[in-house]
Amino acid sequence: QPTWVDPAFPMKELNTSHYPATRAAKVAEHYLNYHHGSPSKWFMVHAIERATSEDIPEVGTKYHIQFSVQEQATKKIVENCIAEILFRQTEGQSTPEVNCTCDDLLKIKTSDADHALYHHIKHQPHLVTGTDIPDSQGNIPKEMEPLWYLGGIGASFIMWQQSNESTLYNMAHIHNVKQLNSENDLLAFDYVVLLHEMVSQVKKKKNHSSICPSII
Amino acid sequence: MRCLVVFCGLVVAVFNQKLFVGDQVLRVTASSEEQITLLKELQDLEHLKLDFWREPVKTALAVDVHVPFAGLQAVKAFLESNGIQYRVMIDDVQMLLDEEKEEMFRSRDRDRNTNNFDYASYHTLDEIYSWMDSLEAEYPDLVTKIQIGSSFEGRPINVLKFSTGGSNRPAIWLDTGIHAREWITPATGIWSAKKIASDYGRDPSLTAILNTMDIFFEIVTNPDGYYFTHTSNRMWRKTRSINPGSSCVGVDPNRNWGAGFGGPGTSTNPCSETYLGSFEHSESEVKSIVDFILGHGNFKAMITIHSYSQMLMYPYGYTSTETPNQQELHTLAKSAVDALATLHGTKYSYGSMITTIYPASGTTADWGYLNGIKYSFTFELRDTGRYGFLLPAEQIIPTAQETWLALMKIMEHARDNPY
Repeated sequence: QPTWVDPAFPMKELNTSHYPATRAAKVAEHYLNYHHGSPSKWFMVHAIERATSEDIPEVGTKYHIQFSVQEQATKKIVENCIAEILFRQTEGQSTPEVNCTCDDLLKIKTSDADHALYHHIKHQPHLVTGTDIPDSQGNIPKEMEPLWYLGGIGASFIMWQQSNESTLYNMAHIHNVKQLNSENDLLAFDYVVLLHEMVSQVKKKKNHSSICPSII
Repeated sequence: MRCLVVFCGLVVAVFNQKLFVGDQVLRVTASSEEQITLLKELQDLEHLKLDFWREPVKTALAVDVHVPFAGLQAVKAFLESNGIQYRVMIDDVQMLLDEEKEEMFRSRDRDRNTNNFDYASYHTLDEIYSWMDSLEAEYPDLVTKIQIGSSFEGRPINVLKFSTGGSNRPAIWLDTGIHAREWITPATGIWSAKKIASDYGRDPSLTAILNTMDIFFEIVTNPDGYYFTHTSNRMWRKTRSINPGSSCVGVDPNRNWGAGFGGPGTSTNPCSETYLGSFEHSESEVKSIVDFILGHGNFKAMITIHSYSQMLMYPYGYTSTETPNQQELHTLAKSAVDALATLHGTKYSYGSMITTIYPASGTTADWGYLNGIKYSFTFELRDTGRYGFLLPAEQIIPTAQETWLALMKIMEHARDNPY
């Protein structure tokens, strides 16, 4: 059981319903997805149990979040995740620094499903493509789901990079995805996604290519 | 008229069978007593299977006879050779029956459409407006459709009034679809409106509400935007009003209300998603509601429904000052989200808008509260970002069902705490 961190600076208890906690938790979500997500494993924050923040003079604000996540494919809930998120005081945007412990999360094994997908795609006669995921009605063809997850995982990297205390990002839509030619064993995809930023309500079109981890 | 009665009888008897192809109905005019006698003899010829709709009685009255196809030639020859005048009144009985049946199904569809309506899918503006007419027609003692204004592009702004009588009773306002891309909200609105209509007289609590209060429900609060999301850009949010001097279209209708107008969480850039408009209530979509509610003068609750984030919020969004009713609204919000969670376990957070989601000025619920409507709430429905605005249609009914439980808590509280 991870212990609650003992802060060096005055700590403020946060309301878990209020946006400072939810925005910080969302950053942890993006971090987890980038590091541990796969086409069969995508996490969303389920509940925030406790949240505190400390203002570190001339550095920034550090958040401590105790939360649970839910894996979207299996619906499995992973409790006892603890994250430290540091938003630095910088001129422009800087990627939040995240430390996250979520032991039970690593116990969710999807390597079989991931391998199966890898082989399925590798042995397709043509390069895989997809468009408009989900469609206007929220539909996603079954065979597109792994590409949707993969798009979400890749987008998590960008969303993590773009986040600060005044943002809350989600991937709104995959405009299109194209598998790229690759000489080696890696599978690579080019995505055009739409990100939704909640505070400004802005939709941002982003291209992420070759950022998607290869499926091994 | 008599024709119609007979036809209905025929349809019931025949039901889907094509027995009358080529049959005709002849209107025969006898000009003498001899001719009347001849026609009576014709009646006796059973093998012809003639069906006299109007019997031969006297020369002044025309005789209508349904003649099966097989006997047509013989009958016409008989009439002609005896100089008896006739004309073909119905050219093909089966064709008429087919048309009539189609019309019956069509009118059945119109009259009972709200029972056949597919609540588990997203609908176009036309479909929703047509459904409103059906609801009004189906529950004439309860539902009235009122047009409270027109959108920028000239579309009617319609509100469904649920009332069991009285005069200017204390009222509850509900709106969905103010932001165009939040499709789950009008979908929830349609389901909920049908729920109100069908639960009256069945559910004791809802019945008690409608026995003392009126409910006004605006399903598509931003019809131009909604139409645009179907035809051009699924992610459109604002109205579609033209901004003079800018190539960017639209105002954020949830920043256009006269409540801390121009404060935090708004933009003065017409290209922004949170553009507040050139002045408060500049948008006809907003002004229509303002005028309607102020003109009515007796609203006690105002519930405005958005997506997504799974939140239930009370005022304020424009300032961190707490309302005098903070405690009561907080407790009510808690009971509403607890009720919501009982159905499918969906977790909502709750609190004032400014603390829960972000500072936002010129919003609907803040305006309601500042104009004396104590129970003013903002919902953010499913989900929390997995699908976001593109919530799958299969989640419509579960979302509507759970949201209903929260709405009932608020409406019951308004009923039980008059002020």
